[in-house]
Amino acid sequence: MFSQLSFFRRARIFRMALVLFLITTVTLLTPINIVFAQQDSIKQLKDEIAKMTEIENRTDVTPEVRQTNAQFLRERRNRLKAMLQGRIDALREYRATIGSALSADEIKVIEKSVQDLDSELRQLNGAFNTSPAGVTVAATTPIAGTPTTQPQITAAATPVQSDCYPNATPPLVSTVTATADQIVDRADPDEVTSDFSTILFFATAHAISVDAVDANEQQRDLINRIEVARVRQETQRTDKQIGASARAEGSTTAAEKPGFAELLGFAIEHGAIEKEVNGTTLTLSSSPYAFVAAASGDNATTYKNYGYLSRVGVSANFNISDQDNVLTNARRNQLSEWSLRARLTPDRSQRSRDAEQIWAQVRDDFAAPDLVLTGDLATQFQSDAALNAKRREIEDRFRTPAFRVPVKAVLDNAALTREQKRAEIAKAILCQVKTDIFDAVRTGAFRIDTASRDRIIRATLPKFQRALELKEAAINKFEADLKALSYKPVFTFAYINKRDPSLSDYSTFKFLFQKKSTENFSIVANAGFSVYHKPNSALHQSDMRDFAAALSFEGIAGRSPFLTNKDDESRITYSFSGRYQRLFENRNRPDVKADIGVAQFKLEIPVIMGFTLPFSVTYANATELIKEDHVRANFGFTLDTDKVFQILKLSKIH
Amino acid sequence: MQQITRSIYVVRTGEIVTVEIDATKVGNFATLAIDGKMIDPLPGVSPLTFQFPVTVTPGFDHFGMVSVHFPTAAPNDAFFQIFVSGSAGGGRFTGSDIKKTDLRFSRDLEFRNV
Repeated sequence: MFSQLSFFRRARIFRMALVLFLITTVTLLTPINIVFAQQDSIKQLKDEIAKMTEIENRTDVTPEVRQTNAQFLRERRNRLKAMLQGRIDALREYRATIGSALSADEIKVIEKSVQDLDSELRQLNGAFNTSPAGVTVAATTPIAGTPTTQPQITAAATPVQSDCYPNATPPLVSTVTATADQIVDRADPDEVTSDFSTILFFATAHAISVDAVDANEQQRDLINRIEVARVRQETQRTDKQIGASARAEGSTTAAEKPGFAELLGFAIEHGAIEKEVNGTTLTLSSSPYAFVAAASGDNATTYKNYGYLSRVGVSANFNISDQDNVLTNARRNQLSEWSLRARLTPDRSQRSRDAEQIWAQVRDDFAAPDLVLTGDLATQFQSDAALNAKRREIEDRFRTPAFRVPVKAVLDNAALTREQKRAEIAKAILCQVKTDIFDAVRTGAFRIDTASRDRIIRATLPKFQRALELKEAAINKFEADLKALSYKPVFTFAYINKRDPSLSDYSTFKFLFQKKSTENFSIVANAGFSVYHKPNSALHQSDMRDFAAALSFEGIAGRSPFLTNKDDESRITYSFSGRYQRLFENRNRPDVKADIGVAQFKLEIPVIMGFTLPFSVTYANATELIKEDHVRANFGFTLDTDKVFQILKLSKIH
Repeated sequence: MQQITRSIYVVRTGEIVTVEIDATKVGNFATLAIDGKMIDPLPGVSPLTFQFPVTVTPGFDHFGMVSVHFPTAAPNDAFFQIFVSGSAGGGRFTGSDIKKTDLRFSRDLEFRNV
């Protein structure tokens, strides 16, 4: 009996021991399994990084390739960093768990592995710090000239990001960089609260991902693969933006002479009038809408109420005699022509009703990431008052002097460039995020329960990634539909009053037609007639001066290969045009022709920043004054100073 | 309503919150999400205006996010300006702004019921 009982007891103890052994083995070896599972992807990442670094160091790649490569390289380095950090953590955890069971040699093996990984990580951080694309991790610059009464931020006081939060995920780094940029731009440390929920979500998700030992590698790594940055790529399209802005922002030097020139200067500075100087001609143009917008702001309400006024535009050309102060040329006796244009077709701009209808179709998908993010925050913090209080406390610490004072010191430091300020502030934010969120979630000081961790890893993050894809697709569709809208034909009526002291003044009435067939190709046509105000019979003039029609095919041949500044996207443009004119006063005269035909090919090549080389070949069967046919080639050099300023401005931003 | 920062506001239960987004040199391409739900703008009202009631009890918050889009054709000086007000008074507060030259085109809005 005793031996039977003893046998059953021993069998039970043996079974329990076996179960315990299996549990312990599985538990202890889990980090190792994860480590082995990561080996392949780490090796693959290293190979990819090596190839991309090679491209980064090459001098024969285009700016687009360089920029794209830098972005991908940064993303891979971040992923590799996160993986290496994960392996270090796992090895340390393994050593701590097994503890005394390891021999001195085995401990050395583990320490050596940790040391090697750590060195690899440091090396990677070094490479990342020197990367031109690594915006938040530039080495700390000691601040010179900071008032001694303010706390100085030095290399010792504020470690670089890699020391503070070396494995911060790409979406977190992107968001923090953007936040730091806003703080610098608005000179307000409180701007951090305008992105806090997003920062909180990414840092929490990262902490949870690192500790999610029961999740697979793909789920753990998802937070590293999320790409939130859609970094103002549009502003780099200087071909369009610079052209538009140059006209819109055409600023003048301070007007020194009183009178009309001063008033014009004021109107131009406030956007009511656009100014353009081309060789010896000054062009001033405006519309009734521009004056309303200058007075009450060019916002959506003004456009909604008075946008119809933008249908009409007026312009005046003046011959320039005083090159030093071009606005003084805006005098009646120097007026060479003025014109009035009225658009006959509906508004097809990006602010039109049609554009808003297109927006309504994509709006929901555009907002998809916000819905996921705010939805998860509500789920997390609208049921646990203590947890929400802790969340508020973490956020409010960004408004205490501990954060504000050093950030303000960076903002006030005139010795730092905008980029340096941005980097310093990003580091300060990341350091605080690391201790207050990332570490707090991992230690349980900021308690995220198991069910929430599981939800974030398995549901919210995948949903968020899909939502970002939906948003990207929505933006692409919106842009494509806006482009299609701009391809619709535009009809305009134009009245031009031409003043010619040596001959007779006359008026031209024209209908203009423009239709884009692709982004790079458009057809322009116009037809009209002119009448003399006071026909001079001695010059064979009658009431009707001429009839004329023109057709032009205009295209864009891509970015000029001669440009070296990456922010300058100026394009090579070309056009083929033909024009027919019936000049009535030339009828029945032997020395001139009444029917004049002109064909022209024109090419404009941007060569260096703001400089363009225009070249044209023109064939004409006659001119208004000479009967003989001829071929003429013209070339020159034009400088657009507004464009130069815009490019320099963009370069500073980047 | 009280303003703590351009993104954080103190509200009370039952208060109706109004968020206005004024677009300058760009169309009304903005959205507002609150607690995972899309808020539709009031029809025909300019500037773009959104409203929602505070339903959380004291100690809890509403989480909002404004996102905007700048089309390629919008000039570089285009921007959106957010204004926030509440039916319980306090005034119309100037909230965050979003410029075309910013790195991020979204802003948080947090409504704390203390």
